[in-house]
Amino acid sequence: MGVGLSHLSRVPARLALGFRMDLAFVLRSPALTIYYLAIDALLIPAVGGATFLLAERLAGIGPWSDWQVLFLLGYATTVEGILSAAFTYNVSHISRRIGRGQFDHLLVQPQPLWLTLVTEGFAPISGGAALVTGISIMAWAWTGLGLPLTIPWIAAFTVNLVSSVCVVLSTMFLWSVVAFWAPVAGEEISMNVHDALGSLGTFPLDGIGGAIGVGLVTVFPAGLVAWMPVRALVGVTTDPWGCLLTPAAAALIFTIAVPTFACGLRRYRQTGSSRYSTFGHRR
Amino acid sequence: MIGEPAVVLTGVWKSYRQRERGSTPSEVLARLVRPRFRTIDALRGIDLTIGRGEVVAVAGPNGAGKSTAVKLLSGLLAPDRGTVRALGCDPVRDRVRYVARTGVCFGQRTELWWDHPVASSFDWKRVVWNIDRQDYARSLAVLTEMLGLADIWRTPARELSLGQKMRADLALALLPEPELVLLDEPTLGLDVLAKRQVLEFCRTINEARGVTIIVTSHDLTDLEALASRIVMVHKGEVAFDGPFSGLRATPGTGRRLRLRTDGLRPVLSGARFLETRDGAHDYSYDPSVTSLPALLAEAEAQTAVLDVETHRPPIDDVIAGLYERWRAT
Repeated sequence: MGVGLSHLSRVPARLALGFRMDLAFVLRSPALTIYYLAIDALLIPAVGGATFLLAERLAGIGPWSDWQVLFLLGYATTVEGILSAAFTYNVSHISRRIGRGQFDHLLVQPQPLWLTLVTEGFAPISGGAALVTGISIMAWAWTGLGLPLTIPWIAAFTVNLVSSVCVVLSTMFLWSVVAFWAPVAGEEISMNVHDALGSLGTFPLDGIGGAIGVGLVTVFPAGLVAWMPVRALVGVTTDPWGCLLTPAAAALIFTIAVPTFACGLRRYRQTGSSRYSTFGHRR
Repeated sequence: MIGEPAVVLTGVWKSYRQRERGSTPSEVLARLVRPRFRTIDALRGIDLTIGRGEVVAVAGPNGAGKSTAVKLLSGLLAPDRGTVRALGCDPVRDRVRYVARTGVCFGQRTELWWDHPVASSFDWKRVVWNIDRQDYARSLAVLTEMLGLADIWRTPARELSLGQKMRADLALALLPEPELVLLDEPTLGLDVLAKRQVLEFCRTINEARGVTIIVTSHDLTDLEALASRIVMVHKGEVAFDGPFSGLRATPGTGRRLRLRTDGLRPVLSGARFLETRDGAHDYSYDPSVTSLPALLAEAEAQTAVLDVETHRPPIDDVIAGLYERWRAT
């Protein structure tokens, strides 16, 4: 089966459907939704609260000023916000679908799998709280930093932001492949990977050198969630190529993730969610 | 068989490899060093052809390979050997084109959106299956009337009863008006009324639109009224393929004889005693071996026979008898 790019024209209709369903879901109980969104808006940036408080207390962390740290936190929150608004739980945690034998439901849909994965998790309202908070924090930090709002900067910012989302999603999918072999364990691992990316992603990692430092931008790319791109965007580094590192790494991780996931998918074609696997599915 | 084949399975093998686990620490350690595997042959070179417009029941004991067969036909699994062709497609290679023309309903799982009203799942299906709005309205009107969806249309899926969920799932599978419908245990856990509704509906769409239906179920009494053909799978092979009447005629399935006597239970050499209930004694006998008059003469020689009933056994009993014989061999 080909990639099926002819299906691209169906993306808007699928996203509109996601919006409609999300709106209906949210409006079933407005009070509950406000409560839920408020908690989301508070808790997601709270992950980086300690980093920000340290930066405030010490007037910065290493080469980072407190405003730069705040921008870093806003950026990391925005990445998480995009994930929760555009790739909700069942897509970003695809291991859940695999681990529970629900992947079958994706395969009986008459559209390429990529189209399902790109559109099925679109929930911009219920998942949008972190996005709004992240953008607000970034905007606040941006005014404090006095960054120029030029077209090259906006372009660099947008490309890096999309790349960071791509890094997180690709990494999640890479680890989720484990679920094709060990369904339940794969689900747990994927959760922990997400948590670790989220918490480590809010730290300025300049002090970490050597193998761990390299590992954090390669094997376990928490440094690409916010640290590496924001360094270049807010001028912590003056390296002219700094803005290209995250997009390049994202392209590489994505290129590894796609065939790896396809390999897991081939395995699923052989075993499915039968009860005869060595490590069974959740039922 | 009606028309050209809807499904052709040729020499299909499907095996699973499962690691054997140890139950004691020493066994676990030993298996870490030297792992042991067992191979489960779910399907062993199955050949099967199903014509368009047929309703076929696939039955067999647990672990016989029924679900594997349905998954192969759904395009969820690829065969290890052999070929699967359905509606002229390879279900795995031509997945997108193929699943657009099939409807799949897994009785133990739901395709409904759990936190949304039933209506939202149908809207979702319309968009994802790219169903034209006019076709959608027509199909939905028919399904709503036949499966009584109106009363659950605004109810969130998580609040539906098992029967309501099954009705909604079935309607969802049939919304795009598929040519081939695969139903895996569609009556599981349903009450008598819900079961009847589901089966009636299947019969109607088969008769009205010539939809090919392949259904797996343990409720064979109900399926007998629906399916024209039954395929019995045992240990991954087709053990029987034909009409239900043919299954009843297999040696050893027998007929039932009920004798009401003045109290004494006659011992019949040509029949097997089953049970005594409410003063009536039930026997099973093979009419090809023993004639009914001979049995009655034998009974009357021992006691006064007040009433006689003979009937064919329920299909479930026939199947249970087959399973028992298979297990013994």
